[in-house]
Amino acid sequence: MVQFVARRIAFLIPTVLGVAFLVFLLLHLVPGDPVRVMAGADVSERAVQELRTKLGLNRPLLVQFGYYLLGLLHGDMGTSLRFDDTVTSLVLARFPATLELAAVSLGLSLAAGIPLGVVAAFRVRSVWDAACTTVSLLGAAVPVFWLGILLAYLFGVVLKWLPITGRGGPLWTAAGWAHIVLPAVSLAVTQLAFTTRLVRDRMVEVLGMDYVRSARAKGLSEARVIYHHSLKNAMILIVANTGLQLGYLLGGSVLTETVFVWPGMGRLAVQAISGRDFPVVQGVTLAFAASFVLINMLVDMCYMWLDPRLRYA
Amino acid sequence: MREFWERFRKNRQGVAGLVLVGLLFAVAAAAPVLSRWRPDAMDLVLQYQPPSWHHLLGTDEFGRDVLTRIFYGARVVIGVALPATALALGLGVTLGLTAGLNGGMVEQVLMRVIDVLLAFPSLVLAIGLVAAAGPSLVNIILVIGVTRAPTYGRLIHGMVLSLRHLEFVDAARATGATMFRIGARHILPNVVSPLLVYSSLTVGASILTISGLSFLGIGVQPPAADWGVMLTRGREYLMVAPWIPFFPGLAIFLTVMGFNLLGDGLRDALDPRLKLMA
Amino acid sequence: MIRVIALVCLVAVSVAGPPVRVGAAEPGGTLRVALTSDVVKLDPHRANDCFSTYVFDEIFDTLVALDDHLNFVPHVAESWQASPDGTVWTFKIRKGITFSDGSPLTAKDVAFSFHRILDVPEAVSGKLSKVNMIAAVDLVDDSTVRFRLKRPYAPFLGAARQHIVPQAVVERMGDEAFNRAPVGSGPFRLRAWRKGEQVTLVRNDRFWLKKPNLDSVVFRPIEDGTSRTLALLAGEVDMVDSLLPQMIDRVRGGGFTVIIKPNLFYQYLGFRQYAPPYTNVKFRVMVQQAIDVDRLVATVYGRGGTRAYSPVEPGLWPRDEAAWKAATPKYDPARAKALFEELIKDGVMTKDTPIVVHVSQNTDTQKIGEIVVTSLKQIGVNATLKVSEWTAFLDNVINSKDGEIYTLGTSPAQPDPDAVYAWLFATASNNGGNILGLKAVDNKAVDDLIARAAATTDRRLREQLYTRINETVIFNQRYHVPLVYPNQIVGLSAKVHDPVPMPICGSWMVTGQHNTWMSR
Repeated sequence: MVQFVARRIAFLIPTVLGVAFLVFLLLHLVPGDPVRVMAGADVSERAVQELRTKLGLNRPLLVQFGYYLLGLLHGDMGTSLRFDDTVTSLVLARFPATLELAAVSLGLSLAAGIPLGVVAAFRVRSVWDAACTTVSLLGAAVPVFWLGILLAYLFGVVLKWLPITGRGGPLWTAAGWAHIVLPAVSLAVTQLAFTTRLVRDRMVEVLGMDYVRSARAKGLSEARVIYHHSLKNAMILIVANTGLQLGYLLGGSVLTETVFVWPGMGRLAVQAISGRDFPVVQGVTLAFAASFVLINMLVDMCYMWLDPRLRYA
Repeated sequence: MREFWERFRKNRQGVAGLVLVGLLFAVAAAAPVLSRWRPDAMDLVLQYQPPSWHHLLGTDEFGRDVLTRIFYGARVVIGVALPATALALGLGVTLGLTAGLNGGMVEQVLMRVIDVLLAFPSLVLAIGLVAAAGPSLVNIILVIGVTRAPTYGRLIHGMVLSLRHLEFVDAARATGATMFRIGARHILPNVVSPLLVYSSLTVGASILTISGLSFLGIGVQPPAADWGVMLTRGREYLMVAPWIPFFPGLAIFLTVMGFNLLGDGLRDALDPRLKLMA
Repeated sequence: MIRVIALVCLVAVSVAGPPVRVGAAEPGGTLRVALTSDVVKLDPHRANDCFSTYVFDEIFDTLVALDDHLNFVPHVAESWQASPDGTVWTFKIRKGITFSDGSPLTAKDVAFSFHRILDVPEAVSGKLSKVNMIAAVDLVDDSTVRFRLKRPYAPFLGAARQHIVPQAVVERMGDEAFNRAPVGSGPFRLRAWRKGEQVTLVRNDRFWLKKPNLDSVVFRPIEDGTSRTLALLAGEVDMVDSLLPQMIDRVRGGGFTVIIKPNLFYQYLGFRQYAPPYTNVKFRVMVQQAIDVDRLVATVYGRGGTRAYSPVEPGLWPRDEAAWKAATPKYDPARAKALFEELIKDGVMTKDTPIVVHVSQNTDTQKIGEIVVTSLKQIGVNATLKVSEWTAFLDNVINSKDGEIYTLGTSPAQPDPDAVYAWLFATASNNGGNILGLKAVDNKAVDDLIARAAATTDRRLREQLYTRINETVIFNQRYHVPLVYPNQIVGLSAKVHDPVPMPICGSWMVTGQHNTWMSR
């Protein structure tokens, strides 16, 4: 296990470095001078040049990247070009909101997807199966921002049941929960089909296996069969895929965050790109990438712990 | 093949998906025949007409016929989502095959590249790429292709790993077959069905991505009759002229649903025990 | 919201205010405001964006202020005097004003504030280009400040409308810390600021003019127009800075107030003077006659805009709508087509010459672009639409030398025609010289007229000169096709009373005439 973790961490570093370099390169290809945006349209080109020199943005790309990496080593992600604030503090202020939204969405999609998958698997190739898989597919066929707008209109404006903008507070408060419901639901629905499919297919497979058939033949209760043999088996697969799913939810929250004015990193990234606040874009991208890699590492560790066979693979 | 078709036919969802996808192609091909308007013909006097016999799905803020624009929008879907999926498939398969068959250093490097692309938040990548290269159809195809490729790369790599020590591959290698030949002759035929299934799902997901890019203002650019553009622009009319966003939204829904059902149907028909790949 | 290229806070004309409720104002309450974009800086001398102005206008006082009718009125300065030649301006500073930390505001702070704008590099100072006619700031005594100008400058009061900061506090804290925790003498002071998310202001009980009714004001950015409207309808904000025009009736029908307020804002189609056929006057007339501008305005802006015939917005002078209208070529596609054929015959362009219409990525400007391209195609011109993300657009039109048609919205930095013409048509300005490309053509006559008009204080003479400039650039050269004066459409909940009709960047809660309050 120790060896495994060490190896994963060794992989983590080149991955994060690669992401850092890629985003650096990408941003320097983007037209629209950040310094011009800072200075304003009525400032002369000469003055813009001076400021560029002062910020070190006129140095060769690789030199700038070198300085950036040097800063990273000291835990310094740079300073925002728009706000007088460090990138680290801006990212840290937004990170919990994004993580919270992703986690609650994941929870919701599992809570709905697992039962749908179980029902579909037990009545495989029946009307029930068709109904469950189709229902799960509905959400995956609607653009997430459109679903968000419709939910906001229905529950916020027409029924006035739920708040539709912003974060209400931490999740242990009622306001916190009320505010997260709509964004989390609209994001969760996009993942529902994935979970349902995963559970259904795995369970169909397991239920067809000899030991489950014999368990059933022995007269074990249906509930026991579901739980002990097939669902547990399917859960391992779900855990294995949680990392990818969380990664998707983290990155995919950009649109949901915009619709529901959620103060997360996705919206920060959009604001930063349109304001050409390159250090913030770099910081957000790195934060996304690092959490993706870390979560996947943790997931793989859980996976190994759940399925001992893999430890020696 | 026949057996496959027999199995597929019994799957009602799959057949429904096939019908929806077929409809998309039919509408795209027959757009000029189906409508007497041009998709970009403005009539600034006839704005916001609700659905009527004259304009079956109403008109938009420029007095353009919504139904006509939906018909022509099918062409954009086919012209962007399909090539984007093909590109993702091509890139991913190349990466995955090369990594899996070569092993060693090449494999390590390529798999790290795939890791980097997977870890990169895809919408940030998309926004950046489009901002860098401008929002043209080709760039949108590139963006979706590049962001979806690593998933294919991983998929293929995994399959190659499970195949590469099998006898028939060893045998081929022993006869001095080139990498390319082994890949094309021996590996690909074994992975065609999962790729087909996954591609169908990717087309659906790409259609959603295109509309998401439109929402951020970096998708297909107006005045092109694109469903994503129609929906994002139309959302501003949700409370005053709901037909403007509703029907493009419905078109997207049905099409994505079609590709997803088709993908599911194919999966069940090709291999009832096929595991879900992601 | 229309992207604003003039980056300082502007001023507006108050015409259509909401009905003021008769009865006593109830003190207390929190006003929640949704803005189209996020608040970037609260240091008024370093900010150069519109939305920050909304917030720091409440925290700081300006040397002079504007009333509802765009007249300059005493504020921190209780009186002023200009020398006969217009080069020396002396301001008497009001006694008894204190900053929110309790320290008194004196002439020293006024002089310091102007030095803070003048004595830093152009790109760091957010306001330098607005006050660069100042040669020296003299502290005469504790309550008198004198400005000596490099040249006579009639509209100086506009330039003098800068925010006053406390010298002692700024020097103690330094620029960066002051931006995070600004101290001013305005009606509110900063309570909390979560960057990019929310700014909370609370009442400044030391405010010298009157006691503000509101306890606090919260500003939040809601970038998406639909979300902004939904937030107002759901009761999660009490005021939004801009609504979509098509939502006016729906919002009013829901029991909300909508103020449609004329702005000093002008949207036009420009021809970048770098290459033929854009340099050809006949070509420009052809474009104008190919477009049904009235329909374009109605389609894109609805009731949110008024057709424009000149860059001078309503509320400014000199205006002569009737004459302008008469001099504007009518929509006439047949005539445009004939002109197109003449242009081909003259060898200016061919049937296939690609004509680029470049717009920024904003719903309104894109719609304008779509209509222009469609109109040009209808007369047979090979027109294409080029859309760039706003920042890339700005970068491109300032630095490239591409001949093309573009559309931009602009606001004068102060309510004076000099701010309109110097920005739009002087070769020395970024907009006139680079964006419109006047540095590529002979523009000396216009430059001279603009300089002469700013140098005299004789209002009659200035009117004459500006009329001549307008004739030259709009009706002879036709550098622009004037399109529209977009209005600002402000949405308010029925609980909000006596709001100050907002200038385009900035909303004042408490002024000499107004004091916003909320009913329970």
